[in-house]
Amino acid sequence: MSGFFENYGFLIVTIVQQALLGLSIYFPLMAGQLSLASIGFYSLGGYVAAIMGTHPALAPLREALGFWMFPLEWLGALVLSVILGIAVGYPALRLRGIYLALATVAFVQVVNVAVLNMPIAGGAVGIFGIPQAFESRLDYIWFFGPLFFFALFLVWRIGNMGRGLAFFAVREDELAAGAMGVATTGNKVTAFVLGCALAGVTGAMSAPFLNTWNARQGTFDASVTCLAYVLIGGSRSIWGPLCGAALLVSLPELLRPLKDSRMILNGVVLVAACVYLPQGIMGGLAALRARLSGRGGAA
Amino acid sequence: MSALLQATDLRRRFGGLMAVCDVSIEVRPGEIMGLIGPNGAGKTTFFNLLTGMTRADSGTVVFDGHDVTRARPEAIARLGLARTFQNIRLFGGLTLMDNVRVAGRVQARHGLLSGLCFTPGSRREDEAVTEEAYGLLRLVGLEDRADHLAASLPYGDRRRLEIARALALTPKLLLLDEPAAGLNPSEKLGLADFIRDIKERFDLTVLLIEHNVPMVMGLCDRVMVLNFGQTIAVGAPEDVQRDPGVIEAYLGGDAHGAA
Ligand SMILES: Nc1ncnc2c1ncn2[C@@H]1O[C@H](COP(=O)(O)OP(=O)(O)O)[C@@H](O)[C@H]1O
Ligand SMILES: [Mg+2]
Repeated sequence: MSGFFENYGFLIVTIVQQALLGLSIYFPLMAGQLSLASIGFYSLGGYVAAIMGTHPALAPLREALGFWMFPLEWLGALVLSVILGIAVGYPALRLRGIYLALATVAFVQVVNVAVLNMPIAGGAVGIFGIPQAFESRLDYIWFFGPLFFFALFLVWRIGNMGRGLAFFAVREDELAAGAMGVATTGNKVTAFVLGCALAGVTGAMSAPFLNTWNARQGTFDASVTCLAYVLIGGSRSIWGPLCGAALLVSLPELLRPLKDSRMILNGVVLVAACVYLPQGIMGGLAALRARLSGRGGAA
Repeated sequence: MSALLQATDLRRRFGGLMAVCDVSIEVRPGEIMGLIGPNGAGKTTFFNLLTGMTRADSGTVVFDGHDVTRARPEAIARLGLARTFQNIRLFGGLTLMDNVRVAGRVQARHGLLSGLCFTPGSRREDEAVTEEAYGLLRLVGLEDRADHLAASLPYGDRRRLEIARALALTPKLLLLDEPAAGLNPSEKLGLADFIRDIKERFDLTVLLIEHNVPMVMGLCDRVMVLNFGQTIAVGAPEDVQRDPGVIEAYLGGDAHGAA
């Protein structure tokens, strides 16, 4: 058992960390908004933590707070993400569908270029030697795990309380939602900002976890990977992002014995998932369950 | 008695087409008013102007004492102006129950935060909304399918669900855009009774667009006729029916639904 965790512990923590990013895309999707901005907020949240964790001017604060410096970093990332999320959300969410997705990709690029040119962010090399919260990387599950369950709780609760219906109404038909008194813009921005905040805090937890932080954390590739977690896992189930992250993070590792051909097989699995499971893994499972119970009822 | 809805000289142009040209209307509390006219006359556009879904080029709309000419659709809806759509717009991926609850929730005072914290107030509010929604589904005879998805409903039931959803807003004024379209003759008869019934029960004022002339004549206290975006007649149904301009518009046009 201990051998298992030594071998796969890092992988498991990474899966949860990536699933958090998947969930951050899931929030705006609840209100029907396809946003790829998460990675930008993840990157910024990481920089907030990296700067707060290493900047010489903050040394007395770190000394005084000790471990509590980490929650303070999360708070910093949270506040920045919410403010920036509102500022970006209001204009961006006037766009729909693919145009919104493109605008949020542009936002990620702007963040990238901006941090590359900010001396405080360490330029292209980024920030090194970020203080660790735990001795073992595995212990970071104590950061990501509770955040993941909190985010799952939020998604579940929003889906089950009356107030959450406003999000789904906007997703189903924005015009009709407005005619039924739902504040469409406000709900879209709220769902978007929830996703931004989650991505930002995840970034702030990830900076110490990864030890270094640089502009490569916030690339277009990473945005698309996050979206793939949701699409492959299933965009209508709260477990979809976790499923997708588990598959996409672990697949290259599990296929490692295949050496060079593993990336080909990796790609084949992804294409097959898209073709045969258009509703994602969770959607496929739901369909399977429906079919099995239907057969059981007929027998 | 003063008007519940007063629109003055509303105008809206789409490119070179004058869809609604200086149309005024006065809807009095408690009446059922009909809006008729050939296809493309601008009736739906007029509804969109009243409900804030299309911006007016000029003119004003005053609803229940509020100037709503530039108001957002959701603000107008919250004041008590509910509508249905000619091409039915339900929340297809939500259950019948949730379709109705969306509108019922709109006046709620407990928001996201108190819901997330499971406050007793938000729970009670959710329960009250659910109960009311159930009552509305029963009213339209869909309560046994409350947990089905709206997209699974046959056409006639969708119309009824859309009306139930509009009623959940507890409106003062209900705008119905061709509620009888696509219904069979017996359903149409039932619809007229149903509209009269909900009007009494919820103390409503109704403005409806309808092509079915017998239905309009039997149901409406007053009728307004649009043609090419302009008002050509307004008055009691039997007077309007005899109006030469109206006969001309219907017979000269594509004679859709002409008496
Ligand atoms: N969004 C729009 N863009 C361009 N033209 C429109 C739009 N909406 C309506 N129209 C045009 O305005 C005219 C009136 O349409 P409409 O109000 O739907 O008529 P009605 O409901 O009386 O059949 C039609 O010629 C229609 O093509
Ligand atoms: Mg129409």
